Amino acid sequence: MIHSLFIINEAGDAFMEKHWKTVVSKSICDYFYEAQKKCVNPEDIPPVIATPHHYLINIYRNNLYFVAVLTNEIAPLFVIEFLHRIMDLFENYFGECTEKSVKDNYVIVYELLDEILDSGLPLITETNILKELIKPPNLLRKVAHFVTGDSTNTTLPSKQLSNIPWRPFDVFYRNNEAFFDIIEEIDAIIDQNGTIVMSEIQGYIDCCIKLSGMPDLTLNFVNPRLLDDISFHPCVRLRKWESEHVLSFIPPDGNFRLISYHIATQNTICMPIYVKHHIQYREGSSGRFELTVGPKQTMGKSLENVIIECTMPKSVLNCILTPSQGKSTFDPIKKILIWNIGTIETKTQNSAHLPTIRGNIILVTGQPIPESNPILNISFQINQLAISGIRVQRVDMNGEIYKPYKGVKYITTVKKGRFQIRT
Amino acid sequence: MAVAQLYYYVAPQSEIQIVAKSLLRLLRHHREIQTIILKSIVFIADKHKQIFEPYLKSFYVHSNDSSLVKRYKLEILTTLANASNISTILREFQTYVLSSDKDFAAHTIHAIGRCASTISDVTEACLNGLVALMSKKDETIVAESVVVIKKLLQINPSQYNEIIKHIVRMVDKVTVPIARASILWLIGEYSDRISKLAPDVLRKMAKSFVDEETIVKHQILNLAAKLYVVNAKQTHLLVQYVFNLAKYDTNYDTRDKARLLRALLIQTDKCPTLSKHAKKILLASKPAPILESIIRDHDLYTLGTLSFVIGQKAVGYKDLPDFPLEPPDPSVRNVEIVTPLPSQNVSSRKSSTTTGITSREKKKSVNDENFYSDKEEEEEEEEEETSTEGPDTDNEEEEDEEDEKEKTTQNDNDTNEYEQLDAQSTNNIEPEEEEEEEEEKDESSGSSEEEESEEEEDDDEESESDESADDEKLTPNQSSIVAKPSSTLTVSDYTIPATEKSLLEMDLEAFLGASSTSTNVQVAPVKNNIFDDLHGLESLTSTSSNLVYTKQYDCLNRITGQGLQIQYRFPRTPFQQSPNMIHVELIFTNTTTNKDIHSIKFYKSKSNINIQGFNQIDLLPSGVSIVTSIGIDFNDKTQPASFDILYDNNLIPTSLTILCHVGELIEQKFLNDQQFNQNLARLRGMNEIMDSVNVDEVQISKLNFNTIQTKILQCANMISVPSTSGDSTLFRFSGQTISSKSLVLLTIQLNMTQSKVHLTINSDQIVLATMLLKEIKQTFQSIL
Repeated sequence: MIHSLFIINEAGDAFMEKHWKTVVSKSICDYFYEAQKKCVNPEDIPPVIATPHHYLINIYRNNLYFVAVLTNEIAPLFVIEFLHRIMDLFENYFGECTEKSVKDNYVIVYELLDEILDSGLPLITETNILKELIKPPNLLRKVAHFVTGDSTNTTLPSKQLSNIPWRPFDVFYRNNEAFFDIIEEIDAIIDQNGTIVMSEIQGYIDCCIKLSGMPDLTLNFVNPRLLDDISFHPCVRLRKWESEHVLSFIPPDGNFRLISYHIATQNTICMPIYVKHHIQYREGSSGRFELTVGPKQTMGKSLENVIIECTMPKSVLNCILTPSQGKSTFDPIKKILIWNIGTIETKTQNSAHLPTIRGNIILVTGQPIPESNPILNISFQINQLAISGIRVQRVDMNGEIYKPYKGVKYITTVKKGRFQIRT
Repeated sequence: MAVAQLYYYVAPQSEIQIVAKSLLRLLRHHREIQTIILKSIVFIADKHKQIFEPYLKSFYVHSNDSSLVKRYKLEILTTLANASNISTILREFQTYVLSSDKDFAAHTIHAIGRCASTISDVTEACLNGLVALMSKKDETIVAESVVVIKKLLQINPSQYNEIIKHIVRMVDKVTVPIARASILWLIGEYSDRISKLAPDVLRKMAKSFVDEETIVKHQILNLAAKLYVVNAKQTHLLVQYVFNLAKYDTNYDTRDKARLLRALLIQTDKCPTLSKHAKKILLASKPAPILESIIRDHDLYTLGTLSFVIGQKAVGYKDLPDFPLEPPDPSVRNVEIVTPLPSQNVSSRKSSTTTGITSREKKKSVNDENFYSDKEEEEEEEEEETSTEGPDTDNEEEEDEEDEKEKTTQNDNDTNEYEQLDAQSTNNIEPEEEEEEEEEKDESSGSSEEEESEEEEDDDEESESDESADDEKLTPNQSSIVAKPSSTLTVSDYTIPATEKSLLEMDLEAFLGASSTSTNVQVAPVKNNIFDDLHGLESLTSTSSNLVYTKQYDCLNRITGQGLQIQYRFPRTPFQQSPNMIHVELIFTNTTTNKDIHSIKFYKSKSNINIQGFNQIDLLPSGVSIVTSIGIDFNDKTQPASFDILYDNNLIPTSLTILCHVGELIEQKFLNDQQFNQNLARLRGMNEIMDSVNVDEVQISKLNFNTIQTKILQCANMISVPSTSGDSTLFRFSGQTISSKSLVLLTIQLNMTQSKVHLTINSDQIVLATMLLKEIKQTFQSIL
């Protein structure tokens, strides 16, 4: 049971609090500040903090801390998951979840918090239902509110009454569309010599379904066996999947994540990118830095949004680098070098045209030379390619007469910091 | 996670594998979730290494993981390390050591140490690696490696002289106090190997003593003391000097330590006995420390709970209950309505006939005909083998005989039983003979009661009907399983054949004396008519007094038994194989529609109670019931007897528990008036307990011999004592306990004026008597 919730900004100011039961004094946050002070990195704060009478569970996202106060034994994962859900919800409502957006929409935030949690227990967390209960803010409503001074919502949500809880009865679209985004993320660690230490593929199918009535969709894969470990949206009929490896479901309205899956680690992954690096520190406060990035086995697709991040050791004072493509910045305080390359075309295969960055590193004089080279975090995106090779064969629809537009998109990407090259 | 938790605690080894994948998927989520999942994985991996081994690579550390995540990942890697994957893990560790996060690097070194100590193959390699690490520039790494090496060396010191020397040379460079302390300790401990170096180190240390940290000072003192013991000549002055320095230290501990060592070593005259053993004390061989995991005592709390994460008991935390040793009451799992108490209507009568003379009438019906009441049919559709004879015919017959009975019993007692009266069993002469002897005894004693037996005969009718009426009250809508496995075709174990009797039949016996004649014809066909008559009378009296209230109890319900249903009842007949045992009939019913149950056998008795098991039943076809008998020596106690049976080649025995009511521990013992009074006089005082029940006037007027007898028989197997005084308010019953054969005498005195029923029990077994009295009292109270 969640007793209270504090939202704390980076400066350590609890600018919002919500109590579901009795009011817990704000001073409880002091324990949190204490733990915060101990950690240099905001991510290092232990998620669960025990205080003499309460237990604090916190999450850190978007430079905000959500701190839930508990008094009783409860599964901490449950609370964490719930806090993240609140954040997702805010993002859904306000487009972003920042201090500003929360402050701008205090009324709705409190309404939402009241609705999703009842006396400390989660009640409604389905976004679709909540959106009917509490309308997301928009300009028109703001104006209407100013004019009439009345913002109460008189209609009861109908979705709760549907026997398929995730879908309302009366959906109608003029253009019936169904989009499936197959997004795959690569996790990898590549060591100095270019051998793959670890690689994993994690995938999602995000859907945007705008179909009238009660459609029943079936999704066939060309190679369903690739999928190793899957978690389904509740709408998917499990038995159909188990017997025929077909995704059969009545979709919710709007955006949702149909499945998330994992590709077996045993399969080796062909890396679509390679980096040649040459980083050297020399005695006497300087060093060389040279990187060359090239595409590899991308099946003719180009790499987009290629960004290389590199956290330099503390002793680095500055980097003077000249990239052949894109632009590079160095943050001397955080010691982060960011090289934004942009798109790498596959046609420029000959090494002369490959994007490179070259330059000198200036070290703080007097400091010892760093022992280890920095680790490169690479992120990129490949459109129209699922790196695991999974493909949707066909999408069928039953139950309705109209012919919908169906679209499937493949994206391969890298979650922040999950593709690392050790140098 | 909750599922993982369930799997962790409940699933068998083979199935826990599934948990791994899902947990790993969760690792992709937010940092906070990662942290907690990893902590849980650490815990699970500790117990079940194999499930995470295939996913070793998922635990490789990314440079931007949070520090907690990194630590847990390291922990998992260390736990999962084994001889086959250690090389990859160590290679990974080597990269981690170079990481810019120094704390993490230190933890990695610690982890390497743990790997080295657990996997002996790589100890050498690890040590070399660590020694190499010591030459690094970074303070923390060097310090941590020194500490770890020190621990490793302790495990196997003899081989690594070189390393020790190497470390000792480093003492000047190392500045982190704990590392310095470790080095000093090493020198002290192994000073014999580096006898040249050691005093020199002490000299250096003595110089810098004042500036050292407390922990280092302690080690310097230790070193000094040890060197003094080994090499007093060279170091005497130095040691003195160090001790003097310590004497004026600001730290209490240091001063104390110095004083202690000084007394031990230098001022030997003060404590001579101790000083003699100084060498032993200081240079005792120390056990090697075990490199522990950084996350300890995580098995105190249930996996995945708040308490588990914070490592302390949260408010409202409850431990998982232990696995129950006793299986829970199977009735909890009943989904369908199973009659909890099979009624007694017919079975009571049936078993009543099993006692006394009528037990001779053991029948063996010719065919597979099972007898069900109508209700039974309705309730259990599977059992559709019904007798061919409709209920009407029976009822008609009943009507002929007993009108009033018919009214009361028609609804529930539509017994469409079909029995061939004349089909007598021929395989049962032995027990019959035994009983005949008994009977003859009874005959002699019972000669005086012949007069009364006439009266009782009349009463019979009423008591019968009363009883059935009572039955109805007790168990409305429940009809008994009359289904008697009367077929011998399927029964291999038929030590005591089904002793069932139809209502009709018993009535016939009771009223027409037909049964007795028929038995006599069978057993002693040459007996003359006078004897026959006598027997007839005898049978009548005993039948009337033997009205037994037999209940059936479930001991294995058909859902838990996978279609095998076992009920038990107390037929109240002596157990043939041992007179001290209580005869319990087990009714095995196969309630499945199409599955045969094979080889049901008695496995073993679980409690200390002596149980005579039944022979193996080879086959129990679907829908068929078989009755077998077992004997249980309850030793005059009401503790339940439990035993295991095996069936259908199941390896796991199914446990059955038989609960014995106090009344079942008693068997009938016939006493005449005179004997009764004699024994009563003997069992006075301590052996007598009394109680009284208040009843209202209307009800007390209803109490007569029959009603009282019925009630007594409901709770105890006792026989009435013929009264000669003619007092209509005094009723006496007698019985004896089955195991110890001690008498139990019950006297019931009705007090008409005060509307009270006085109950008195006289018995040696006073505990038993108390329980019996309580039960009788309850019976009076509940039924009145």
